[in-house]
Amino acid sequence: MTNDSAKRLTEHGSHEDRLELLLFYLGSNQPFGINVLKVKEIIPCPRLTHLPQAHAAVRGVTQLRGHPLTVVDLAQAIGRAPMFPEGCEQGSVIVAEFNRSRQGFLVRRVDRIIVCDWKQVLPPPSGTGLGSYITGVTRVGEPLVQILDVEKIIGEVVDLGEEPTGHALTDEEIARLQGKRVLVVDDSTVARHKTAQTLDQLGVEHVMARDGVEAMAVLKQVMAGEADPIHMVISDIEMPEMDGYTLTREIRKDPNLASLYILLHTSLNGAINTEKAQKAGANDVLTKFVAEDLAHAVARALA
Amino acid sequence: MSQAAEARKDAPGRWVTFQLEDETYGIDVMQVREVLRSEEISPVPGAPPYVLGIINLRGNVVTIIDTRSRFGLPPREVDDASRILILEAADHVIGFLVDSVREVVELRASDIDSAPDTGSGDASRFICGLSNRKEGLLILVDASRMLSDEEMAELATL
Repeated sequence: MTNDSAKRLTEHGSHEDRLELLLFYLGSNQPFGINVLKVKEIIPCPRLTHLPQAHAAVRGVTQLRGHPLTVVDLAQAIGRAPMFPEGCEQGSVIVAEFNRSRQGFLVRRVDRIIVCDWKQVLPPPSGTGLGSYITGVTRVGEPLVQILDVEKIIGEVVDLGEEPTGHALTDEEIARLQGKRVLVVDDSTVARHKTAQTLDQLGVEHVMARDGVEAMAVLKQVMAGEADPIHMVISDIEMPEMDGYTLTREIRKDPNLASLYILLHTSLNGAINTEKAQKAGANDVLTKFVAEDLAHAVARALA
Repeated sequence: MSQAAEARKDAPGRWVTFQLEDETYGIDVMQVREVLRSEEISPVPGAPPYVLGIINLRGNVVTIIDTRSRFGLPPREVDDASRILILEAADHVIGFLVDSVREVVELRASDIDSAPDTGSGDASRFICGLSNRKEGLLILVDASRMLSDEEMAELATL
């Protein structure tokens, strides 16, 4: 399967904010999901070369279309036993592309694609804690599909300890940003943390929200005069309850907020998002995560 | 860049390939001084765990490193196929025990890809690239990075 079929499905859908999930299994009856927009292709597990000193969840490296690809055992990465203690030839590899990089995820079996509305996606139940690898759950019959936080998983396996680097803004640009407040909307703890670090370096104040519903609640408080003014919104696109496109439209609908600057900050690669983002009314779109690019985008927005 | 320089840049380099566990590795032939059958290695009391011992190489004492331990692989008995690669690394002559030595292959710079991130951090800084061959991926290593500066200093005091 290629991304073309995914795009076709999206175009045919009358509703723009549908989420298409590729369902897969990791060796139990629990179905897991990954956003189809992150999936480049699915291949039978090739022979993997094991590099010395690799992370325990890395099953190995293979050459795919001229480039090396790291293959991560998804079961092991989320703290389960490895799926194939002997050989992994029986498994499939989901080749995913997000955060400007390409990764392979070893799974037991790929099932099918389901279409659902972001409204049907619920945040992980409270009590699953910060250590949870799930960004949301959705009901498609029984049992619940768990949407995996692949960004967090990859962050723990291969980018471990990598912190955002400098911002490369001039002193005048920084000076103009002082006293500004930004609302950051993201369901991923890792992404919120990284964005906050970059904003801290710029001396920009920030308020956090975990999804579109929470963000709207914050903005309503601001309008009611119960909170300090917000000068810019930086929002993720894929979020439970209310996604970034819907949030953008909700903000534009409100006459008091219509001129608020909105930057959509997404892990999804590609031009398809830019078009949809502009249609929804966002001012700018940026692919995660390059601290320098984010700093420049913030400087442009608040200049 | 002149044409001659261009050609030189992509001139084939020669790599000695060796086997450890299931994978094949390559090391620049310029870093390999010689290949020995594994002979009697005398253990050194108090040496760090990655040091197998020392050998007498024509009157010079050479330290032998347990490459499996260095690479995080399980230990294995020395057998007929085992070889010691005597490498020149950062002004030191050091021996590395490997499962077997296979052949010398020619690789151009264009045959070599950089290794993707596998979450190993500094532990795998000796991996300098990958080359895709029909037998599978060849893992290229740099002898001068097989040991850290601290380890080199530690060996110098043995």
